[in-house]
Amino acid sequence: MTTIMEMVRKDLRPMPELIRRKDGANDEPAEWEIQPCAAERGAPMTGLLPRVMLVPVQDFELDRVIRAHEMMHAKVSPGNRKPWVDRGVATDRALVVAEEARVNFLTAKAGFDLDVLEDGTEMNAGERIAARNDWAEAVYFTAAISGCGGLNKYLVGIRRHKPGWGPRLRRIHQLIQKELRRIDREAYSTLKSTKTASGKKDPNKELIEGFFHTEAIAEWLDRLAEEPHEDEAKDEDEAKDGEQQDNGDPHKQDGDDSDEASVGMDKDGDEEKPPLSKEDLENQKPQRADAAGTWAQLNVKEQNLTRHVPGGLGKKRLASNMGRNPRRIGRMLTDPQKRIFDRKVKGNGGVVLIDYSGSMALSEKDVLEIMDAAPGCTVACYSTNRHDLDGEANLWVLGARGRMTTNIPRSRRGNGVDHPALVWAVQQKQRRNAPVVWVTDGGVVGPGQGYKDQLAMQCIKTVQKSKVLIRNSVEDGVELLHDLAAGKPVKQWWPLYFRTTWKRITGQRLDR
Amino acid sequence: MSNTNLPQCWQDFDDVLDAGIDRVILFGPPGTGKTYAGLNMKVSDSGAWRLVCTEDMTNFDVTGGFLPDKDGSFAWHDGSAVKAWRGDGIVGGRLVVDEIDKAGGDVFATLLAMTDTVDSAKWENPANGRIEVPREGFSVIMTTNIENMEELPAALKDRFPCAIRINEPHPDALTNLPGNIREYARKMADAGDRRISLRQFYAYGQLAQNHGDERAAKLIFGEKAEAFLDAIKIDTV
Repeated sequence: MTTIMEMVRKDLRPMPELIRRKDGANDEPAEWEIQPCAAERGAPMTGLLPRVMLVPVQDFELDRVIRAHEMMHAKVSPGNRKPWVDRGVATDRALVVAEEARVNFLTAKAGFDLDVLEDGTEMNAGERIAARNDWAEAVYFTAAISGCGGLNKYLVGIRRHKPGWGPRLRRIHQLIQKELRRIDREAYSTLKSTKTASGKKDPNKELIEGFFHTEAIAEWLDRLAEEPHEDEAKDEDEAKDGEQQDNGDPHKQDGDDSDEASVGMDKDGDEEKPPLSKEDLENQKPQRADAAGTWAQLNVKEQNLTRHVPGGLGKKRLASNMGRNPRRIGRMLTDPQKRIFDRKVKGNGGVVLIDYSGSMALSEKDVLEIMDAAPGCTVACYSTNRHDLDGEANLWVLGARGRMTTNIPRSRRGNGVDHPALVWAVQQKQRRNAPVVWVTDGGVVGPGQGYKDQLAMQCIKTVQKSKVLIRNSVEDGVELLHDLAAGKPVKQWWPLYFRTTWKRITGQRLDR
Repeated sequence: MSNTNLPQCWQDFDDVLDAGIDRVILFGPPGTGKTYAGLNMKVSDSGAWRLVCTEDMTNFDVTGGFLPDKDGSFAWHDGSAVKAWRGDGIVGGRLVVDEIDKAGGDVFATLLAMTDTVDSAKWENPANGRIEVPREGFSVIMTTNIENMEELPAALKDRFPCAIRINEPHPDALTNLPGNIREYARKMADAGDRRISLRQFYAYGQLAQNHGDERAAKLIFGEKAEAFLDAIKIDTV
């Protein structure tokens, strides 16, 4: 019989050298640097490209499962997460925890017992997160340990401060597992695939197929982790049901948590409502990985801005009681505040971004009208072709700083860079409150791709976050700018494409 | 040996020989087929001769020496280097020197002389006084497990301008393995302390056919068996 000391003394380093991938990583035979570490959350680590692995190496079952978990990272995780973070579809934290869920799922599928994968800190983590009222981290941590033995203890910790959160978090765990099972059951499942989307073997830059699933789940987690939704009124009955499901026994399995007593009171004695209603949770759907697309790289070109637009900067002279040159000396007698000097102010500016794809026509007159309507604004249009590999410009600045071009470029027919162009436009705002107007029909697509919900969601989120105003045509855009200048209230308009996508993904109306 | 889709190291060796380089060092982990390649790849019809260097070897192995004959007299027997110089009498052969760095001082000096450039190499046969020179086409491949070429003596490095690190077995050497472990054998050839040699994989493949993966792994890899089997489980998920 093996004694504890013998188990401790053993050195069972894993063999990541054996792992085969299709993105070019770990292809050349070479030694990995394996460093022993403690069997604690946060200590083990896998660096695929530098070939480094920190794992516990002793002869305990927990150590073995941790080694398997890290080996699975070496098998399926991307070598570099930065290209994924740069896509902006999901946050880095969400990508990390969604990847933990995928890796745990695949490790269990390989035959390892994930029930032992806990280090005893889960309950404390749950208590700490709930005590801080950190709903976002509660969601992310649930994903990180979804499928592991520590989940129930974590939920017990959560319930000690936020009893209402338990059912929602457990349901999130169930939905993650359900989604992973669904993907895994597909005929040609790419859940573990490390084939690159482009076919090029560059593990440092290329996107791998399997991680698109992680990204889709991560984007969904980001939505769930958002600050509390307000429509909780009809959820109270359900909350009571949910609270009954989650307390007490940390070893309780999924689905058998209906016979527990309710503890749904927080320290103040108020019933703690979950930040996410049951209806919202069920309506929010993870996107499909095949709905993922990619944008082309944005290449900005400022056209020769040769034409001066009179009043294009919207400069005005206003009377002031400070200055060097007393241009308004007459005011010395007439103005009680003696504003005899001038001070110059510029127009509020703004950015008008035009989707210049397809049959959209754009003329000098259009640009002139826009610049008249919003003095000091920047006008740009974007379009690219099917492949966008030529490195040529796909976003043109047509007017800026009171000058405009007389050379309107020809459309390259496709969209390709909608979101990068939108982000660029937001960055061009001259002032914090300068408006950004986006003229588009909402048919946002990557180069050579069809309409993808994921890309559309990315645009919608940026529009919401940066308060971009959308209009369907240049004429409507000009009218909007006039309304803004006149101080009239303006309303957001959402293209049908966006409304449909939003409804499909979140189950809600976009203009709610 | 076929040369389609060769790994980079073997492609390099192929290209170097094609370009007419006749002094090459092959270094890297053991069991990757360096000696086999030296004895077989692009060898002329004259054949190849092998020298395995140890501290106790003498110049007898290199240049030759007198041995007692049947009739009580002594007869001269050529060493491997002289045989390779001579080849088939018209074209020189290939001399493969394993672990030259392990040779003693005398032998090392003789080997330096025998592997010198054709213009400088010359040796007088003590049996008949004939002057031997390497024939056209004579080549030398040296193999070693030394990882750092700086550790080799300067005179030796000077004679072998081209050194190629062989970090994986030649694809032809893998064809004798069962298909499901060929790629693993390739990847483990250069895994440092956890290296699993090609010979171990041959044995594992044979045993696994009759006794299953688990038993075969335990018998061949010992303590490393669990790590090996777990890695296969993960890899084939």
